[in-house]
Amino acid sequence: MDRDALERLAMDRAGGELDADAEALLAAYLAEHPEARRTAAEMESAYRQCRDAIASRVEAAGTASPARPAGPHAWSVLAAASRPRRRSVGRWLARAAAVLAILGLGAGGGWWLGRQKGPETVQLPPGRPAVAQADEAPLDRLGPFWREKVATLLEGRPAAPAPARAPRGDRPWSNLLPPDKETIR
Amino acid sequence: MAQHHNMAELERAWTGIAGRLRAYFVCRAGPTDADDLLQDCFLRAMGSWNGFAGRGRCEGWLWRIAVRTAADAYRRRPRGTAPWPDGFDPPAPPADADALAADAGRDGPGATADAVWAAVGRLDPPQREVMALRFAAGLSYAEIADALDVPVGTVRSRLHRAIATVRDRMRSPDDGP
Repeated sequence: MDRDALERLAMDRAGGELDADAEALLAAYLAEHPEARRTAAEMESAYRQCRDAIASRVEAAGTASPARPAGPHAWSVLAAASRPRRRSVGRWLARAAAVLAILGLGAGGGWWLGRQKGPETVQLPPGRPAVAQADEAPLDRLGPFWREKVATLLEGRPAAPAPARAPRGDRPWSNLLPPDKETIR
Repeated sequence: MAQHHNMAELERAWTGIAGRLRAYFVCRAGPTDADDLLQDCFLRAMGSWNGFAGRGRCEGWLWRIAVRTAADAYRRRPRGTAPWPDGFDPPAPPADADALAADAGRDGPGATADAVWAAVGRLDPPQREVMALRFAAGLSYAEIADALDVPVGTVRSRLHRAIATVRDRMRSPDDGP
């Protein structure tokens, strides 16, 4: 038997955690092995020292007046206090009514404000356009490409449709890529 | 009615172990803070009782709360506070002082209760925890394992290492942290 196992058995015996059969076997073993008997005695002595040192400290500190509810009805009061409170239906109805009242107030206010007369509109004199027409100068500042586009829009001509690219069968999403990215896989 | 019955179960369990709970807290935090921790433990138990009632053994549940309460207090302790209480009044001589003196004479010259207490205070926190639950609260291996949520073998191993470490430090007090 190695030293650790022997010390643990001795500790169990000192603490009363060893059953009768195991204790008898340990006693028989120790009777035949003086060295093991000395090791077990040291361990049991250390166990008792620790037990007595801690117990004496705790006893010196006093164990009186352990906190507990006093009085014959204390536990009943605590039981009532710890019982989960049930929210009544009336309380939920009151909350729902409050929410509905707030929503109704908002809707009514919005309706009332919508009925009010809006701001006065300004009547322009006849013949004057509402939006000032752009003179020709800005168009002159554009390049030829954009000048043609703007002219097309002003004349109401539909723009030439972009040439459609047929999707490829193996990669139907390839028409979403720019032409120079089609080779990227 | 069921609620009242459950509260009676808590009352019975608390009344049965309140003294040992306080002893455990004295061992963990000293006599000054022990009563505060005991009250904290009681309030935690009352607060979570409705979620536990009827599920398992009430005493084990209370010990788990006690261990968590002590661990939280240990984490919240002010900076510089000793991890193990040392502000006790001088302890009363143990009942078997002669046996202790005999043990001290055999195992080393400094084997007094104070020296053992100081040596216990220098153990690792898990080993101190097992020592407190075993020797201050008087719990069995199985009860300690339940309170700490570890296997019984772990409890036995920690206790063995703790006692062996204290024994070795009593032989050579200058060793160790």
